[in-house]
Amino acid sequence: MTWTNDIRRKARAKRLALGHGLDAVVSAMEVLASLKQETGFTREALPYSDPVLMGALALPDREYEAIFEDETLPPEERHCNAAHEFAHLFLHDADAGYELLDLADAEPIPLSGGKVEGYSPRQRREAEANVHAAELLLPGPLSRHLFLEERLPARAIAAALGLPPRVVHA
Amino acid sequence: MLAFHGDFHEALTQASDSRAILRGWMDRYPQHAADLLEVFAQHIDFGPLPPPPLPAEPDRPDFGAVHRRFLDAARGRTQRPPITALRDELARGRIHLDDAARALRISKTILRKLDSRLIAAATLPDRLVQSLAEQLHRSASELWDYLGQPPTVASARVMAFKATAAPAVDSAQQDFSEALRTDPSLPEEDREHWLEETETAAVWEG
Repeated sequence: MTWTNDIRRKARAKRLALGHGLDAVVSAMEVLASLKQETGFTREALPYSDPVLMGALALPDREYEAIFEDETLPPEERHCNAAHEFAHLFLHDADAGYELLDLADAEPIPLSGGKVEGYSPRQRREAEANVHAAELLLPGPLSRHLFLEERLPARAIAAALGLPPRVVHA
Repeated sequence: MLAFHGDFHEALTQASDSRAILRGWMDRYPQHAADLLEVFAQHIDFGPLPPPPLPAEPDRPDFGAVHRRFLDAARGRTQRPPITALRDELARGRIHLDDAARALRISKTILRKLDSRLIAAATLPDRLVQSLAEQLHRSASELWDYLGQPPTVASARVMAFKATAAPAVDSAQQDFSEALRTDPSLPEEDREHWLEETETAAVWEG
């Protein structure tokens, strides 16, 4: 089993635990509402220039139980970013030893995780969070159902779920 | 002098009306009025004092040194460490962050900004600082000392950072009024309440 399969398995288990079927059409907003309810974390929208964000697109704070988000982004991107930050909460130990100054994504990290072997531990964590977020919001069974049975194009699937098209393409 | 301090301290500790004891001792020993007042002030501030330390040379005690040690012991026993994080102070008092924010009529985001000193202390209303100090069981001056320090980045332990560039850890602080105006999670009546408060303070200072 590759590490991506393990992460996908965890994401599917989380989705089921939240009460959402693996092939049920559930919007990203609904999935995130369930995550908020389960974790007690709130989502706090702030202007991009706000000092809390420090230039981030999204920023979780475990002590304040909040995910701070750049409100200027489109809602689809914000959902995706929030799911990514929730994934960090589920997958990664708070004491993992993040080095803040090393946390910016200098290079794009693939959503699918297919190219990340050999990346740094930090990049591996980011890739894991991406894979978990994508699978939580659009699990494989739902993706197959919409693509193969419903014959919907990626753009229509993205619109139906409130996701950026890149997540559907991944 | 040593026995004099010890007797006065014991009288204060045992008295139900320590002010009456002070008055009586001031009448009897007006030449020691300053010492009596200082010991009395320590008694009021810190509660019962420990017995004064014995001098090294009982025959020729250095009364000034004994007195200083006596007061230092009282201060040392009760002095609290400075505030290092609001969230830790609230946790010690078993106060949830959401409850603290609600009681202060601010959002959790603004509380987080205060914690990280991302709001310029000079722009904070006295009443807000006083209310928060009361929640923390700290003095307002202790809290002002904390809030007046440079901004800090929340512990990396609690955060991951999703961005397209390195974090701008040197971001400028905000004015309190700006934090109020740009916080979409703050109830409108709370926003108006604090904006009014800050504008009133500005008029007074202006």
